[in-house]
Amino acid sequence: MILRILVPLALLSAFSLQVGEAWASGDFTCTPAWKLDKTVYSDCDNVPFLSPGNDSRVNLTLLLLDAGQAQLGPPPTTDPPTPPIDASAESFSLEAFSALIGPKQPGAPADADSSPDYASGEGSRCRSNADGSAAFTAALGQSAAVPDAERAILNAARTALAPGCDAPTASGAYVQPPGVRSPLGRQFASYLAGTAEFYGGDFDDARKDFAAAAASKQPWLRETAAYMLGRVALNQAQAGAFDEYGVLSADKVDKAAVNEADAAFQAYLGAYPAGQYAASAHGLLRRVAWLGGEPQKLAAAYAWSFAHAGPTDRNVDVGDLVLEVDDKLLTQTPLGTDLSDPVLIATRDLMAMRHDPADPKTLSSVSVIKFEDLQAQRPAFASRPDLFEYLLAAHRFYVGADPVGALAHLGAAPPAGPMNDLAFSQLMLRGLALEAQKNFAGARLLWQQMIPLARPAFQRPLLDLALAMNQERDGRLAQVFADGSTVRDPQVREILLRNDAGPALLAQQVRAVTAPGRERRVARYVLLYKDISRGRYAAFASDAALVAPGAPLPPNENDPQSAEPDPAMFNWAGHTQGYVCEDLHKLVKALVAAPRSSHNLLCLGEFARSQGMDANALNASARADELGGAPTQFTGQPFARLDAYKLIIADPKAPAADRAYALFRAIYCYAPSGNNECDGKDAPKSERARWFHTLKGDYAGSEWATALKYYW
Amino acid sequence: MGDCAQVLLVGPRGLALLSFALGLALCPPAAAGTVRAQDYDAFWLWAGVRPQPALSTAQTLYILQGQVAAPGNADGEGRLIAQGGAIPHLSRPRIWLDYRAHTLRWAPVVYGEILARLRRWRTAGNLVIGLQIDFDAHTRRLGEYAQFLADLRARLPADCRLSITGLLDWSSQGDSVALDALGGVVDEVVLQTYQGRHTIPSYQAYMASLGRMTIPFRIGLAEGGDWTAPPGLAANPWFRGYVVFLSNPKAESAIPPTGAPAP
Repeated sequence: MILRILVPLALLSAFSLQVGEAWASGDFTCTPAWKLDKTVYSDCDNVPFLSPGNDSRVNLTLLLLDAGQAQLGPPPTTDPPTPPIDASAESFSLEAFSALIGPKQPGAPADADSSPDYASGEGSRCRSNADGSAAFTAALGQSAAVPDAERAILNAARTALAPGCDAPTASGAYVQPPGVRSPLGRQFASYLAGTAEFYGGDFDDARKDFAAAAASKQPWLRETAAYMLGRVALNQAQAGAFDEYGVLSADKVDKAAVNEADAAFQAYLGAYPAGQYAASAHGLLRRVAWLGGEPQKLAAAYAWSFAHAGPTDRNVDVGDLVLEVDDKLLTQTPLGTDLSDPVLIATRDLMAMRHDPADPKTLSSVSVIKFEDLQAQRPAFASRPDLFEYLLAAHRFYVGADPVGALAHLGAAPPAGPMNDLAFSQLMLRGLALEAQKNFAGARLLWQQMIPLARPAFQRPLLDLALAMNQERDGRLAQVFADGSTVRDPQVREILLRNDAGPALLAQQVRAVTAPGRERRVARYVLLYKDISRGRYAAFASDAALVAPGAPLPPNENDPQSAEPDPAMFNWAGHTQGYVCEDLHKLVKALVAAPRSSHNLLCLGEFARSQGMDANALNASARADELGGAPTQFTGQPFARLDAYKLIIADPKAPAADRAYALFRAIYCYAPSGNNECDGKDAPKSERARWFHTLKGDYAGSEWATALKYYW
Repeated sequence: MGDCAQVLLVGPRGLALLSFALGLALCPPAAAGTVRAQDYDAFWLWAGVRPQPALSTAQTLYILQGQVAAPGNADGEGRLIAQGGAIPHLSRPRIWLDYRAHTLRWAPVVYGEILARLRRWRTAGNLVIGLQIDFDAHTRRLGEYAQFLADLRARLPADCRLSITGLLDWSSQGDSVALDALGGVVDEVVLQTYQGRHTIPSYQAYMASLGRMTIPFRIGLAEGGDWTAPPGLAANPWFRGYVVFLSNPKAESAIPPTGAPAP
């Protein structure tokens, strides 16, 4: 089981709080990338089509959905309520996706037994003790040939068993309770002894006693003991195979016992194909294959289990089986292992197309599958040529950076009807290949053809992202916001407004009466913020007069996207103490007249400092390969405090009080960590030392020299 | 304690009380460079990570046992999915059983399963000193997390301590009341300086705010990641040392797992 992530380093910096988190505070939680072509796995970056960047469990589930072996259900109720992932273009986590996947077994947890002491998936033979005891008692109760007194003895002895399967040493042969003499009673006693020895770890004795019980004519004894012979061998096979840390060492597995377990479970299933332990035996056969180091057999068992969901075939739901196959097979088998089943091979192959474009040597890693090796798998895909062609196309596109090669495997017919997950994946990849060729018109046509056919869950919202990225890169940003635009995803539109939009488009969206209120408020905020930070001072007053509707509702804390930027910052009242500044509106007017005056720049710095403009996401653009990464239409360099201070420090004509304050503030940019926490070009420590000595020497009498004792 | 230890103690408002030596270079960090397992004595052992030689001298191990994921039932409550291996037989190191939580709404049965697992570990002769919960609590929701932990704590045996992993920005952005509330409930917080397997590049910027912590804390490092101890850390009265998140050697992880497991 794999939990978390390889986050691309570029996403990690707390100071490039990316688009999705723009209004939220900067927690170190996973940040999704707003793009479609992903080759880096991360915790929250799954897209609803087959992709190397997806969690392997998401890709596998998509293929199971197509096969009808899993179903997409409505989102579960959660507390706190979370926004539905299938209605958004945003990428999602495995956990959120798995929550939609069914069918789930009724009740919880979905375990094969009712033991309150063991978690789902916790491997201990002892977990069957409680259920086994109840079954023993029930079977005995139906065996009139056992005298009452003997039944009482046997029941008491069974109930008295309190095995602890984690003892460092095995128990010895079980001493059967005295007083059981009837033939059937003796058979139950043998079963009882086998049980005690099995749980105690004395597998040799358990085998003998269960073999004796399996010869009984009593149906429960006969069936159950036959099944238990498999479990005895299985537990013996692994008894010495876990090291002191509880980790399996494959070379310490008892291979003879593995084979014996295999034979015993097969024999059991042959005799009782719909027996009461059939589902368990099928599951334990997967463990046999895993312990035996036989990935092909294991893969076949998984394929069978995905296809057979009946109660006598399987006792785990599809979601758990997906977790298991990933943990025990897909992440454990070297590339090139023949997994036979096309769906499992495809899932494994997509993992082997992962690489980090920021680190080219990952592309030549041995973990990346070569095209020839992929081609050599063709025979295994004889039943699934469509899936195989998709893999070839994906390799050409993601690994080979060859969109022409990819298109050769993707067909050219326009979409004609509802798309299953593979069909949707093929069309998405075709569109991405056209985009990569800069055939924007061709890609756009495809996205527009797909939109009316798309499934409302996942597919339709994702096409908003595809179409929006196409429009912004093709210089058609205005089309996204034109009347009748099909791009409705609020986050997609907001990202474009924050990153790409110029003043005219922003003003248009503030005025757009048909746009959602939030979008209009965001447009106004971005417009005013950038007017100030990009030196568009003359327009500020008239832009500030634009009205956006209604106060926002209090944000839902569980949904960071609901947090809105607060326009109260534009009512900044200035400072009456310390370094004195007038209010923002007067400051902006003064900047119109004298944009480089030291006082005006220092006051702009005070505004930026007090209103959280340092390292604000609006000072930067989205990454070039993500939504919002097209060149911005809002011209001008963003204001950076440290740069402004440096200008004043370097200006001998600046008033002494202004230079002193600029020195003080520039030094403070490095408090308390020694890192520049203002925007602007970094200064070496020697320069900071010079600032400090200049302040302390040339401006020794100023309040700022007095106020500062150290530098960082 | 020499002069160096006084250089960068951080006050309650996050302002540094700095070196008395005006304008002089700050002291060199206590340790700098790549994190090597052999230099440390406390480790996370996560699923899929193979034991390595450094473990033989480990004093403290945090071992993953499972994750609580929602929805486990019709009410949307989380259920426990086991992830640890077989129960080991370790004589020496102090052990914390680690549980990764994706939700704070646990089905009632989960608590019993965890306590039973704890009992079995101890029965097998291991020195289990406590539980660690690994949950990415949003800074704004620390108060809710503290309530959850108080409830969990009340269910634990008296001799079982409670540890949590923490996000680095708790100390810088967290509501100090909520942080203090955590302090009344947990025995330690292990602050992560990494995401996935990579050190957070800006971790040093956050280190300065550690002075706000009023809970015993350790610093979690990623094996192979970068680490430069900030001046003053060793002198912080709440600092209890490091925990290193182990990973498999590169050659062995040629087949990338679905993702790098990380607490």
